[in-house]
Amino acid sequence: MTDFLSNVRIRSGNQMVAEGALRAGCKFFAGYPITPASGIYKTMIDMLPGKGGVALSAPDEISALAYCVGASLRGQKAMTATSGPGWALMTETVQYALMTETPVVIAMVQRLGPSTGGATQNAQGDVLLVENCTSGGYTIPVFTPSNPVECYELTHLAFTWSELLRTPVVVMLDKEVGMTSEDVDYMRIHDLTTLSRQRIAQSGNGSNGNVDTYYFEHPEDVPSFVPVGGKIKTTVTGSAHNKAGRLQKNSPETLEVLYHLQKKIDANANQMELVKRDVEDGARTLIVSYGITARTAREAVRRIRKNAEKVSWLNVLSLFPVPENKLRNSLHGIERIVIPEENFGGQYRSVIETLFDDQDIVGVNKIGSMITPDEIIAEVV
Amino acid sequence: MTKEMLNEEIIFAGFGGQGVLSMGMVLAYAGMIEKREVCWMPSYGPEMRGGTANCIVIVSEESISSPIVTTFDTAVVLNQPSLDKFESAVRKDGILIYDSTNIINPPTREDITIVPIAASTEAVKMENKRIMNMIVLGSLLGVKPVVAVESVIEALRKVLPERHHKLLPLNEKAIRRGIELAQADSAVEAE
Repeated sequence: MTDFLSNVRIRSGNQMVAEGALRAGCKFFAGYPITPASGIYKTMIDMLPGKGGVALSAPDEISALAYCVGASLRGQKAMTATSGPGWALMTETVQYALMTETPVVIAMVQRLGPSTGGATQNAQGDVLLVENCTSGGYTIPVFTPSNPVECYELTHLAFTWSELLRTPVVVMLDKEVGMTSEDVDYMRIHDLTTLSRQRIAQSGNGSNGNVDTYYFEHPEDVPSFVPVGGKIKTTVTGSAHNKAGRLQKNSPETLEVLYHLQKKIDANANQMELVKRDVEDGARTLIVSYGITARTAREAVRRIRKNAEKVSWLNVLSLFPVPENKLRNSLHGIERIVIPEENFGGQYRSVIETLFDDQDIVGVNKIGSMITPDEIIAEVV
Repeated sequence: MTKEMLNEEIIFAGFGGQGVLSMGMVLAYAGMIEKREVCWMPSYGPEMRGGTANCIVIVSEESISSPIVTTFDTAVVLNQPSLDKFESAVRKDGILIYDSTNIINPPTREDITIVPIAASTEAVKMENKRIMNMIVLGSLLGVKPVVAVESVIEALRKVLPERHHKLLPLNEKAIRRGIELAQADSAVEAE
């Protein structure tokens, strides 16, 4: 029994986001407490200093993310955690991180909006707010776990992609995923390989022996990293710039940099696709879900099959870039796609609708209380 | 009797500060100690204190697909608003346990087992009002042994920070008292 208990613990999604970050080598955390994300803040403040890192309580969310960007520009892996109201304050710095190609992970635990909304109520209403937060419409990679183990693994993965692509990555939970605790068997967590950004060891890629901070050969390449404040001089700016990091208006090189910010993500979109697929031969309906509604969907699927009826199900773990290939490969024989979401407009559905013409795409949408398995079953043919 | 897979879905509900969330967590831990799949989902208002709070606990032999449940095998309620809200959410033949000390309108359903426990009064007798939640948890075990008492006591050791471990004997006493009260109550009903 002692052996068993040393591997199995009760953990919330929030705690597992923090543990996943530590596993990925996160060395800096700054946050401002906010329900329902405070569990991440608390766990990082409790654990990170003991692992040789720095965990700070910032005066507000603007500072929290800005501190993280600063730490990352010095070469440390950094994360913050917030909810919708905090995200609203962070969007300027999310864009700064994107423009300056600074890896940073933001754990975003959704609650009911708009504004300060319902602090302790679940919602999935920030999907498009998060994805479309940049001027210019750049892709922000978003991962959506639905249980504590996925919180751990996807936070780790968010660090990997953030480091490899040098871009901000979001792990998006909702209140129920973040605050629900479940038994976690640590022996069943996948082996994870930790990767870090490519660094420049010495000066010389740019003119005059300096480093071109944003040098790339092909637009889809990711520039190698030079820490600010080190021996090699490097320039970081959120304004439009050339590969050397110098402010320029719309020179061909500056435009190339702006295209590159998106192309490096597009070029890796296939590899980022992550879904859990449970496809049944002969099913005519495919349920597509993410976050807490993936749990409800799973129960709906269980009940439908118990009645000897057929249904297919896709739990989307990489919400953006949209896992288009994996979705398309699940559509054989499918006439109807059902997308349950705890928002009233069907935010992810509005994205999926633009991709597929041959299927009826319907939503199960609700705010203020949780979608039940029966409400999903009612839409399945 | 056919042997069914254990899958117990329980709601604990009351005011913030009554120990509603922690008593659910203790049960979840005990389930984990018995190698069950467990899930603990808290729900409360934005108030710092005095609001209503509840948690849903699932203890199952199978992997738990959804933590979201709208009807329950058992409801454990500690105040009138929660009783009003959750009496109807108990499944037919289910169990409703409540602290009868502060209830003005008692439950009326006849298709469920209703177990009133004067837990707050009993806690005062035991000279620690805060032990009330453990008396009620004991009553639950007395009516329906979802997990063994020993597992709950081991769970307490894990849930309580070490600086509070001096309170373990009192908590254990409260749990055992709750079991006695529940069983005495059932005995009366059987007569």
